[in-house]
Amino acid sequence: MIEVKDITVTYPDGTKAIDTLSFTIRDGESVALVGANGAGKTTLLLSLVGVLPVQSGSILVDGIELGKSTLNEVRRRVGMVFQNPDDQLFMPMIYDDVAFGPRNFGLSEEDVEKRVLSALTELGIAHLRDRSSLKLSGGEKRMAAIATVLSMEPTTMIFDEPTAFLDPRARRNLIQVLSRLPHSKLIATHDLSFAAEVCPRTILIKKGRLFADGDTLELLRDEKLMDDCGIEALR
Amino acid sequence: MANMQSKIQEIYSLEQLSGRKSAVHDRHPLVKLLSAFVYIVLVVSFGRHEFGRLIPFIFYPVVLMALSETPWSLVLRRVAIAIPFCLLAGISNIIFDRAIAFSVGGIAVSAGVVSFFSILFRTFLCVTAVLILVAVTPVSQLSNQLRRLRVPDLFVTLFEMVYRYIGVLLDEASTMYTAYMLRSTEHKGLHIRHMGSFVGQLLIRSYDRAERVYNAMKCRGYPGRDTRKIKAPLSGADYVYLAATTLPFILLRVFDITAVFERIF
Repeated sequence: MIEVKDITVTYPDGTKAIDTLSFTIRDGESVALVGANGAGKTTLLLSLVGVLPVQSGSILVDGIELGKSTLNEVRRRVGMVFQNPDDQLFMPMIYDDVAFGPRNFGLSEEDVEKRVLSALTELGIAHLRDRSSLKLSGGEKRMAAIATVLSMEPTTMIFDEPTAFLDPRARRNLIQVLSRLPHSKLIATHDLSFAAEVCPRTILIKKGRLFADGDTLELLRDEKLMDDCGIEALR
Repeated sequence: MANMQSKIQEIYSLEQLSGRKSAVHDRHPLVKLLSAFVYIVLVVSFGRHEFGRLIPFIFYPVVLMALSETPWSLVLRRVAIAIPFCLLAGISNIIFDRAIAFSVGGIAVSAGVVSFFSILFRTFLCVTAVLILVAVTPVSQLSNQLRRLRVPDLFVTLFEMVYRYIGVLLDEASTMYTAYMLRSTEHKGLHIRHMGSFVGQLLIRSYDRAERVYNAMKCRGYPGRDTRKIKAPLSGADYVYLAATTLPFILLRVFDITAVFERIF
C-alpha cells in the first residue's frame, strides 16, 4: 500500500513539479497516472522511490515512511520500471540484470537464481537469460526490464510509459502480462486505451496537482474534464 | 544510418563468438585472462631492437585461433584499426635512429627500421592477444575475473558500462547526424562550425542517460560496488592450459634461442 500525503517536489531552479499532492494506492490496485507532457508524472514516480526528494509531505509504503534511513527497505517494496529499457538493462547479460536487485539485497546465490528463473519464467522469457540486452527486440527489452524489478519481489510496481517503444503485438503481450501480475501497480501513461484495459482506476494530474481521481472509463471519456487537463478524451 | 548500424554491430560481433564451444572456450576465464596478460607483458618487455626474438611469439595467436576456430578476417580487421597509431609512434624511430643495425645483400638496415618493425609487430601480437581473449570469453566473465584479481571495482564497472553503452552512444550520434544531414543542403558532412554544439549535445545526452542508468541502479539497491559472488574453481585442464600458454613464452623470453639458431646456421 502506498500513501502519499500532501507532497511537494521542487526542482533546484525553484520550479514546483509536484504541488501538495495526496492519494492512496491500496493493496492489489492497478491505477493509471495520466497527465499531459510536463504534468509531473515521472517526477511523482521518481519521488515514490526516493530518487527525487520531497520538500514537504510524506510518503508511506506499507506503513514505512520514506526517508534516508528507510530508502533500501522502500526500494525493496516498490519496484520502478523506467520508460527506456536501455536505462534499466545495464549488465552484460539478462541473467545478471535480473539478478542485480536480489544480489544487492544480500540474498544467497541459490536464492538469487531461484528468483531470476521465477521472474523470467513468469514473463515467458526464460530463454533470454544468457542473452545480451543489445540484441533484444523492443518487446523483449521491455519484458526483461520488468523482470529486473519482478525478481526483487516488490509489493508495488510502478511503470513509466510502459508501452513506449512497443509495436502492437508487444503491447498486447504487455497488457496480458500486467493484467496477470497481482502486485499493486501505478502506471504513468499517455496510452489511454492501455490504461482503460489494465487499470480500473485513474489519477489525473495537471501541473503537479491532483486534477481528478476515479473510475478510468468515466474520467477518460469525460471530454470536458480531459480537455481541461490538456489531454484528448478516450473515444 | 544503415552503415553506422552495421559498424555498431561489428563492435560486438567478436564477443558474440565467445559463447561457442572449443578447447579454448571451455577453459576457466581466469586462466585465459592470466595467459593473455602474461603474454602481453612478455612481448612488451623485449628491447626495441629485439625483433628476431619476437618471431616465435606468433605461435600464441596462431595456435589459439586455430583451436578456438576464431576467423582471422574478423581479428585482422580490428588489428588494422590499431596499426595507424603505432605507425605514428614508430615513424620517428626511422627518422632519428640511423645507426646501422645490419646489412642485407649490401643494403644497410638502420636500427630505427628494426625498432619500427618491432613496434609494429609487438602491437600486432598484443592487440591480437586481447582480441582472441574477447572472442573466447564473454565480457561478463572477464569483468568477474578482474574483480577476483582485485582490480578496483570502479574501473571494472566503468569498463562494463562503456562496453554496454558505446553502441547506444554511437547509435544516438548516428541519428543526430542523419537529422543534421537531412537539413544541411550546403555542406557535405558535419561543418566545423557545428561540431562544437554537436559534440556538446552528445555529451549532455550521455550525461542524462548516465544519470538515468544510475537512478535505475539505485532503485534496485545498488550499494556503490558490485555484489556478484565469484565462484567456479579451476580444473586440471585449466592449469594445463595456463602452463601451455605461458611457460614456453617465458622460456623464450629468458633464453635467447635466436642465438642458438645463429650458431647452428
